[in-house]
Amino acid sequence: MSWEITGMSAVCALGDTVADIHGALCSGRSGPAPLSAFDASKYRAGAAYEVPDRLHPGVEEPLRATRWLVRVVREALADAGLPEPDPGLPVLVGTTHREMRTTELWWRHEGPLSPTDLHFTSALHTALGLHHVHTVASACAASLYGLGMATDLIALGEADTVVVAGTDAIPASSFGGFDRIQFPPPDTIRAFDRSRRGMIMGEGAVAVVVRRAGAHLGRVHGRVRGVSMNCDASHPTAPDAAGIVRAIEDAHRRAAVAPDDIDLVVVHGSGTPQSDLAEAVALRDVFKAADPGPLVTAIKGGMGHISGGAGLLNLVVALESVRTRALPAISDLTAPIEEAKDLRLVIGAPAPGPFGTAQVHAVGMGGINAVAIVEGASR
Amino acid sequence: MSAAAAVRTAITGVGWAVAGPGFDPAVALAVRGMRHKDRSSRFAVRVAQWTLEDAGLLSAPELDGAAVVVSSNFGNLDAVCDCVTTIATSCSRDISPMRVPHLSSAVSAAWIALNHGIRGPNLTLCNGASGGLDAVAAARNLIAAGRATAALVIGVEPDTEPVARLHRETGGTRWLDGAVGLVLEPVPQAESRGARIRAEIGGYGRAADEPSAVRAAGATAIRRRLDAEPTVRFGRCSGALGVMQCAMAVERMGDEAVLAVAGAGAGAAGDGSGARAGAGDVSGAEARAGAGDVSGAGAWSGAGAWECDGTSVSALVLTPPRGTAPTPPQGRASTPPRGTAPTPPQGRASTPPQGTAPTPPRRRDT
Repeated sequence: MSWEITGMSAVCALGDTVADIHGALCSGRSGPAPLSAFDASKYRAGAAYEVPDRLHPGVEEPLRATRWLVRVVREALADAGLPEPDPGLPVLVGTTHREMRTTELWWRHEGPLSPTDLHFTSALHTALGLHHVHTVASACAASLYGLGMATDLIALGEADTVVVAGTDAIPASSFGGFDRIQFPPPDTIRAFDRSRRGMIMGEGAVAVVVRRAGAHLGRVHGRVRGVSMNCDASHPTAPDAAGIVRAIEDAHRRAAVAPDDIDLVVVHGSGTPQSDLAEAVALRDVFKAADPGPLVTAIKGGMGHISGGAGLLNLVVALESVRTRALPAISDLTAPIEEAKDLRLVIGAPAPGPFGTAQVHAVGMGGINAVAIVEGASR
Repeated sequence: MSAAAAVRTAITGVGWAVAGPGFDPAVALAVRGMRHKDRSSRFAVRVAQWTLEDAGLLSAPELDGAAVVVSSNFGNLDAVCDCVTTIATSCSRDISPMRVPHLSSAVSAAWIALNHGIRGPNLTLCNGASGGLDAVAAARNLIAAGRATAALVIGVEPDTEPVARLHRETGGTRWLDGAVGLVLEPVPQAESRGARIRAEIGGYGRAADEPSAVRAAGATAIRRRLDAEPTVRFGRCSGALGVMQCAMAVERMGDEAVLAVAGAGAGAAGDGSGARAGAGDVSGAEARAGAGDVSGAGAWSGAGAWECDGTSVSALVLTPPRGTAPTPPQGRASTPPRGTAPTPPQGRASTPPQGTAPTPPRRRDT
């Protein structure tokens, strides 16, 4: 079984369309910007990958994650030719931080908070008339968890069309928390590089419309072949290569593909010592017999770690790479770690296609993993 | 009938860990492994253990491929607010590194997986008032889709400083401080391992209004209904509401199906006012309650649930176990536990039936 992706939309620090974000990645644009609304004197790190859309630069606004979510869901539905969706259309929103930034402003007596701000049903109901909304908070694997649940809803006959999304705005608490545990603070994200120092937060939203294959005769961006969801259950914070291997192998089994069928991998690639190591070891293990094995890239150097939407952003960038036959390089990677030396890492310049089948990863804190296998579309 | 509903899924375990007199999780749960966990995780971890014991699944091989599904709306608020206070009054260097994992809403589910080696899907839902029922339905889907051999569903809402402030600001007078758990598994698996099937999951529906949700669940003919009772007993239950409704329904399951409805009430049309107008009316709910009397269908019916988001309503049907003679609820409470680990006596005292329920929530140390 496969599922068709008929609509896509995304917004992050690099741009506000999938094509623009992919184009920026291919041109090597990257790099965080100075903090715009947080008090920089409170943190050791001075930069993040923010979406530069505050009305007054330097003045914080509530409900930004909600605003982006409504926008990308509306755009993805329009892109899919469904501008007025059925009110019961399921929407699965992956998010790490929900509206914790709005919660922080409320806690500091700088703004209001309603319990309905803490999930996304109210906003999507008001804006688009949708009420069947799930706020999936499975850490940074959340949006690919949403994709897996969407494929299940369609396979089980509960829906023919599902919107899957991810959204997060950077909360001061998490920015501060990572600032506390990453010292010295990373200046850039250098996935798989020996000199990598950690993750830099980003923000933004992404949405796709997923339909039962054959339910739609118009344009298709790509097909979902299979999605796995699992948990390492081995360590509270450090990822475990064995759990990632199980997630990859389960995704392959669900997609009915073999390692040799995978043309490219967009890894989680958060640039932290532990996470990159676990992913490199897992890929080495899974693809050890593949010849030549897939190209491997990571995109967080471009837009930072956008948290809940990260896995789905990897997915839309993978599909755009298939369509344009250009796979962006890993930014700031010059000296790969030993464990990645046998991987076909994309370094320096975009790798040319053609590509068919892509594998995308999301590795969340708590050992929560999800892997999706997607393929490009012929129409 | 959808494919999910066609896969028979049983509830085989129930657990409670609700704070009350003599049961302060900050003290009673401050045992080995809990020191650095937040209040939400302490509740969740404790109730996970009791629920798995109740199902006879503690350390069972089925857990390896099982799922954890947690429903909570306010679980991580204290960690987030605590950190932002630290930053405001000092700087990021003064944040405790042990606090950092708790900034994530997903951490309670991850702790549970870690404790019990549960390596299947690890899902956290923050859906508002309907979230508990949505979590049960999501767990059923994970089983039906072949992703999980069983599912441990937890509803948890801790009473912390920011949670209390948010409730007070929105007209709340009482709210839950605790967690409740359910084990779901496929009926054939439950039968083959000799588990006690307490109920089966029936239809599920979600809609913008209550009648549509009940219709979507295929439940228009069901007379027995459970909606506001957890709120009457514990105050606002939020993300734990639906899980608690299921736990209460299971513990009193007779020979009739029960319909649980969460998120209904004034404001369901979507104007948002329901979040305040509906949810705060606990005293009104109490005045109308007589819900413990299960002798008649009327006693199970409410005028509507009193915790409402104003955004969506979920409805879920639980049916009695098939192929077995109905057992009086009293008989169930006396069934010997399967688990071996002792339960602190405080846990038992934590969820008094308060004179309304015919049977107390089951404890592992009975």
